[in-house]
Amino acid sequence: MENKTTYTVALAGNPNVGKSTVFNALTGLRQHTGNWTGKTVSCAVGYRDIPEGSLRLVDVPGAYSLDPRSPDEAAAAEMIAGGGDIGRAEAVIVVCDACCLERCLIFALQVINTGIPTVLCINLVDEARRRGISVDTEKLSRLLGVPAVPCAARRGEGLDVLCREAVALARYAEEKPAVTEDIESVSCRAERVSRQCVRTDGNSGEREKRLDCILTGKYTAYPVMILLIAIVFFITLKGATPLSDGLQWLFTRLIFWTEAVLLNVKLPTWIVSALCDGILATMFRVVAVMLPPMAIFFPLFTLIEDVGYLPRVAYNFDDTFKRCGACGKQSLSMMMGLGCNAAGVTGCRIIDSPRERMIAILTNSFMPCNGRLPVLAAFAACLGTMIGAGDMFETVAMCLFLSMGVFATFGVSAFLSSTLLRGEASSFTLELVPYRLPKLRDVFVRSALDRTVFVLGRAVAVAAPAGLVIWTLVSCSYGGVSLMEHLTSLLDPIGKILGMDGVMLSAFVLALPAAELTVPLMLMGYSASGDVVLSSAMSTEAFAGLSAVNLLCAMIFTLFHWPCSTAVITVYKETHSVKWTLLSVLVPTGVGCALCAFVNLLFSLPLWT
Amino acid sequence: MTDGEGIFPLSALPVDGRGTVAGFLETEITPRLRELGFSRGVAVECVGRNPGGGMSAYKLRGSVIALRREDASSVILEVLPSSTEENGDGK
Repeated sequence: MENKTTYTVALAGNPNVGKSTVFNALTGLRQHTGNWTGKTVSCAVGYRDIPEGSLRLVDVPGAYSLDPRSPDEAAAAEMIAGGGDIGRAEAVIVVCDACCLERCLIFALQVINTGIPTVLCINLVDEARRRGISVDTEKLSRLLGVPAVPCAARRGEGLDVLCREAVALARYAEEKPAVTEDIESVSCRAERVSRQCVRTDGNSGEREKRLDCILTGKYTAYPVMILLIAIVFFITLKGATPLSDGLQWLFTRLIFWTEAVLLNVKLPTWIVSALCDGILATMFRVVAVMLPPMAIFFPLFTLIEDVGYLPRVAYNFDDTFKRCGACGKQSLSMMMGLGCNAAGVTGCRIIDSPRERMIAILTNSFMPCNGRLPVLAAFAACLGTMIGAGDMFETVAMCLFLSMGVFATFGVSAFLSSTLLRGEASSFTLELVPYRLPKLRDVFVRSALDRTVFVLGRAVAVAAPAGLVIWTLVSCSYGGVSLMEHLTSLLDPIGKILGMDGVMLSAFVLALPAAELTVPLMLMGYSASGDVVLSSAMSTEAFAGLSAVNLLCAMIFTLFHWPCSTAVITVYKETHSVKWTLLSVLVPTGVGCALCAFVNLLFSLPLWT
Repeated sequence: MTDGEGIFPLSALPVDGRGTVAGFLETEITPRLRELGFSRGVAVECVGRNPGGGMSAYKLRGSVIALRREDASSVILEVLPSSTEENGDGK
């Protein structure tokens, strides 16, 4: 007889033990991210049905202890130990890494001490086997008084048994009274239990030692990192371009078709134009430009993360960041910013110190995201043709500008930490996780899906309204001149100071919702027709009227200007402060204006004859 | 170094050196270190340093934790006589 009751079970454990893999394997696509009401922490909730009952799994943030040190850990503690307004789970699955069981047991024992029905998931047993580590889960279970299930989540092994145990606990087991035990005593017990249940043949950790000699070695660390970023970049750009072109081709046909259909139905031309040339064209453009690079970059990034390399990046860079008053983990949020600045800002959560986190948030937009990279590339190509440089110019220019972004990050971080965000260098710990082979297909599918949802959501929520606004500006006139032209004339004086002109500056302003719109907006501004031509392909002839300085300043401004609207909203969500959100807009804009004005001034001096 | 002598901070442990935790200086980081498994009697091995030299990687209880030099100095180690036993690491 099937049991239809749903039991809420928390999935907890140390970071990096494969908890997400367990969660994804158990819930598949039946999951969503939810915000605990009133808290800033978000968590994933998923479902799994078995004959014995239904599981509602809550993926609690990874924690080393139930002593709350951050909002994440506090929410986790509340779900497990109770005593808050989240509500206690009915049972807990504590995921442990079989390769470092002793450390994981420290957390597991704390959870058991709270009295909540607990089952241990001894994960990564396949990895442990490879390293000559074996865990006697039956003995472990006897010693601790809780069920212990060996699993290899990335192969799907052990998960059915785990579910059954969890449901059985939630259904029948009773909460025990909480036991207070200090951490020293817990550590001692963890060691004692582990010594009796874990057997090691040989020295596990050899693989890490050998790899880390190269990946964190004095002379090899930086070249390897630069090479890796270059490879990721190369694959992303080369892979994305044909896909973007393909999508653009498809969408152009879709718009023609829609236009024809709507005109056939005798809808007034201006409505059809607003819909097709404004809303649809903008939405499609944003999707065509952003989706392919994101669907490549983020899976690659997640792959690097799952392999275990990312902590090494933070490890290698820490000294440079410390000298700027920041933290090595900022390198990771910077890398995420290369994919999407909003994701980069969210990624700053990994930095423990609030002061250093703020520095990372404020400087994140110095990394050009997937939306701005094609814009930079377009300008670079134009500039290259204009000054008659060779084929390599575009690549060299991109590398140069990326380096500029990195140096600006260091410089501004140092500046912030000696002015607005003064403070001591923080203490932090970094776990250098063991190197593992992730399940490639799962990583790619899941990451690509997540990013697709994000891009499509943004297209509807942000790009569609933006498209309508742009269409209105172009199509509506006042005093015989379109609103767009009014805007361009208004911004022209400022544009000229910055080495650009009104059209360029308006394009940057109107591209606030999505940086991908910058080039089409400029093309529109320069084209004589005054039509909304967002769906046309990029042609560099339109830029023929510009000088090299114009293009150079445009490139600088692309790198250093206000973050896109999604990023700004994300900053507000992370900081809950209008002041800091405003600063996240002013800092890059200030740097951009200063640099552009300087370059403009420099090239206008009578030194160049 | 004579047997039993040699109380020193973790930050002074050379690469490939081993020691046993003898105690702590109570600082901001110490509670976190305890959660990560640093406790009296645990064997620690220094398995590497970062390129700049400001952070080192320490292996204990089967996992590797990297710490800045200032933070590592909160942990006091001692080298016990015949501390070449495989005590606690490799698990």
